[in-house]
Amino acid sequence: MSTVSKKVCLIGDFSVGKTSLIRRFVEGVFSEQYLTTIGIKIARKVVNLETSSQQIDLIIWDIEGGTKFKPIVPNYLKGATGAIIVGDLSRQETLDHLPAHIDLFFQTNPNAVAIVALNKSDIIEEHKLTKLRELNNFTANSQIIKTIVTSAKNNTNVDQAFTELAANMVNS
Amino acid sequence: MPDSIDQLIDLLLDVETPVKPTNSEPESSPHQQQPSLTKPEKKPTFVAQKTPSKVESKDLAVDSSQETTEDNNIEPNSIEIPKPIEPVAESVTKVAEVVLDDRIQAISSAISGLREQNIHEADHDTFSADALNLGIDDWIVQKEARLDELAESLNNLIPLMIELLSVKVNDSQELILQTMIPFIDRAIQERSSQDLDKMSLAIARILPDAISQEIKIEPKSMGKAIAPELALSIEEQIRLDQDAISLALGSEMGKAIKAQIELEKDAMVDALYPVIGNTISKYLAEEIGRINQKIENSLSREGISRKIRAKMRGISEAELILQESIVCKVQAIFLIQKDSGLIICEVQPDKEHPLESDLVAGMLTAIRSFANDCIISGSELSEIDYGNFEILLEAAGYCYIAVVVSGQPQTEFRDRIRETLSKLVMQYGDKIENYQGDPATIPPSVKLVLKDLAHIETDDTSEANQKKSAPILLWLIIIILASILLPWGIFRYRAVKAQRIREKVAVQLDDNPQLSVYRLQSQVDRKNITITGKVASNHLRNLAQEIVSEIAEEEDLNLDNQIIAVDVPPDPTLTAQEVTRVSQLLNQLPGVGIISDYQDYRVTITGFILDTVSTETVTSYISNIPGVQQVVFNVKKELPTLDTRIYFGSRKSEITDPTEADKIDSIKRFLQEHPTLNLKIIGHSDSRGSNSFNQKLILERANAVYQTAIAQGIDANRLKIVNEELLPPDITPDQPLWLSRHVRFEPFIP
Ligand SMILES: Nc1nc2c(ncn2[C@@H]2O[C@H](COP(=O)(O)OP(=O)(O)O)[C@@H](O)[C@H]2O)c(=O)[nH]1
Ligand SMILES: [Mg+2]
Repeated sequence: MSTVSKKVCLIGDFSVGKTSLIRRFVEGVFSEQYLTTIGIKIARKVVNLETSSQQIDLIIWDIEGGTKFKPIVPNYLKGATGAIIVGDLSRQETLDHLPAHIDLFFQTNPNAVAIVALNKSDIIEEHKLTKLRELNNFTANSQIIKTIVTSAKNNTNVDQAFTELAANMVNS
Repeated sequence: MPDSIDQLIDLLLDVETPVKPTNSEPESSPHQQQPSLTKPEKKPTFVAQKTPSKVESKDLAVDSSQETTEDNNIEPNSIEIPKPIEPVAESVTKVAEVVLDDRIQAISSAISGLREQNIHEADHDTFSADALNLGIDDWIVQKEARLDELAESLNNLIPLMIELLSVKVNDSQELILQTMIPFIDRAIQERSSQDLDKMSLAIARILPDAISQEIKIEPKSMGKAIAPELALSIEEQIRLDQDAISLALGSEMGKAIKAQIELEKDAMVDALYPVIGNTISKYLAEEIGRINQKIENSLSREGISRKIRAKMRGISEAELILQESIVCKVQAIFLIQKDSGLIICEVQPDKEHPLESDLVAGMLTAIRSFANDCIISGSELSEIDYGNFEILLEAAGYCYIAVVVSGQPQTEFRDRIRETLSKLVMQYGDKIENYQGDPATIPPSVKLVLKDLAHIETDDTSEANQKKSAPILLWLIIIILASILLPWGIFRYRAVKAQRIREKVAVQLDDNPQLSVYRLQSQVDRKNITITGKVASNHLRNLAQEIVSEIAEEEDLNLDNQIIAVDVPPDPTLTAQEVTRVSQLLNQLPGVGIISDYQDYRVTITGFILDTVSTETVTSYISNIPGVQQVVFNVKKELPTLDTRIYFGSRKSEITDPTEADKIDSIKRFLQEHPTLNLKIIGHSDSRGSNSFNQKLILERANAVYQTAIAQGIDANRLKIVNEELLPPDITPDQPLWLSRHVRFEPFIP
């Protein structure tokens, strides 16, 4: 079985839960405590794909930024095969910024793929959730595999987001 | 050293000023007196007066046990001999203290000057840590041995001071001194045998000042003369009154050190290694490195390492050598793709504690991007230093190499990294560029090249030991199984092995750019590797032999080289392709931007090569391509400049003026003229307005130019917006503001 390494970026506004999603996926934990990511943090996890005999070594870049004062440095995005673009369902402005993040990512990596994660679903009421989902569905771009509602806290769809992204990265 | 004595006299005269209140003699200003030292006309009057003083002064020295405290009975114009030394010494001390303050400035600059002087004595070429260490060592060693010497050297000074202070300086000091010297020596000697401490006490206080004065007058000779004593005198003063001297020097020391650092930063850092706690280990490593180098120079490197390994089992002295030898050790080597930070290949000699290579590579890549982007646009991060570790970075087109080293690597090591990197880029550039995270796409020889850099030898002995320790039962099972499976296995094994070796031969021959244009084949049987084919020269035949014999050796086979060298040049189209391919690879080296044209066995190279090392690399690679008989260089060593500037209105970032817009034409022309160069677009603003506004403005201006250029058909890939200082570097504040509001261009090799 061969292992292939791929770079994945997590981008999105400040405090949407990028670091939490990565910790949930890699370490299996969640913490309410907020730790600012300074610059970049890199994590790694090997994913076994059901559909192929390949293993994927995901090198996950947790990228700080996404505020007015600290724009994301495009160089950090270079060479990525995939991205999870994260918004916070409880803060509308973070969802409004998703298209900008998506554009920046694909400008830097025209051949990459991405998943949009609408995070913190655990603190949103059911009826609101369906509405928010409909409003923020990025299907126009074929390179966006899907938009998925996640919760790092309740461990909803976290593994799915990463594995689905990984599966599409080898195909692409 | 009569010269120095003369100058010391000058100093002492100078020093006397504050003592004046105790004298009733008003007319003699020491400064006015100074010139009289050399005036002969005053001599005669003095000789007569001098003579008796000799005798009496002797008495004085012997008589010193009965000390009186009357300072005031010093009489003008006469040599008051029975005056006891102690009070004089005290007055000297006072003088020294008063003057010390005035002279702090002088002392501090004197010390840095003297230090330099001192060091140049030891080593003419460099102001090096060696030299300073040597100096410090000397100082310590001589500290005790010199005590007597010191007393002696002080002898020359003390009597002069005493006499000069008591003699009211009406007359020629030179004469006084000349006549005094003979008895002074003895006097002091006797005096010091009685009470050395008091003597040195008197002198120590005045010495720093005297030295500083002298250094002002004649730094070079003074440096020579005083260097050994300076240390001692300062030490003495510290012994006497630690606070006073640190107080006096402290405030100026900072300035002096700062000045020295500005002058010679590296040397200063080196010089400070020994005294700064944290860097002591580095200092030690350096020392040991030096020792190692000495050993290595006399014996071969392999020989030494074997020797160490042999000795390692036991003898404690050998253990020491071992420790020394591992002080600088390669912990890991990573070949990393520049953008993605993915590891292309890695080597980690220490199997027990491997680094989390993916994370390290990612972090390094992030740090590099950050540094290149935000701190030093366009330049490269070459080194990261933490504690006893160092990460050396060396970048090429699509990849960079990171070597984690513990201890202090020698400077040649960086050259080796560079060589390794250019070798890798030359041979595997395409594979590195197209790397998608699958290590199987990288030829195994890349790892061999990296291993070579790390100097990793497979430790046969330890493996053998491990094998021995396998349990006996396991061995029995293996033997039984083996007797059944072996006959079949050997057959299978041979076939598989032969296939594997043939592949290896093919890969390695193909990896060599000189041989890759020929069709070479290999056969493997039980004992031999046979290679066949035709090449253009004996040199190439031997090259193939060299490459394959290495494999043969590894596999324990004989090599049968049946390659025929025919004097037929290779296909020119193949050669032309190879020339183009190699040139493209060479363009990934920093400072290289070339276009090569192959015609009639001759390659003409145009474009830019910015340093001579790269020129050599280019020559060797191009000229080694079969079919190339001549390489003609038509390259420039410096980038051309482009003076075009596009100006903007105040607080504006649109190009409205048509004459400004027309300037884009000159950009177009420049890029056509220099196909191997790209252009940086750099925006500037004037000095008015807020920083953040201007920061935004200059990017918008650069972007406006970028967009206009693209709209006029310039290839966007050849332009790069770069963020630099707000104000243009060449416009001075007194020039009109509009001059600063522009976008300029800077050519670079992509
Ligand atoms: N309720 C809830 N809180 C979350 C979730 N994910 C993250 N958080 C919280 O949101 C804050 C910011 O998360 P963090 O991962 O650091 O955000 P980042 O700036 O995007 O890396 C932290 O206080 C987390 O505890 C989630 O799924 N649900
Ligand atoms: Mg974070």
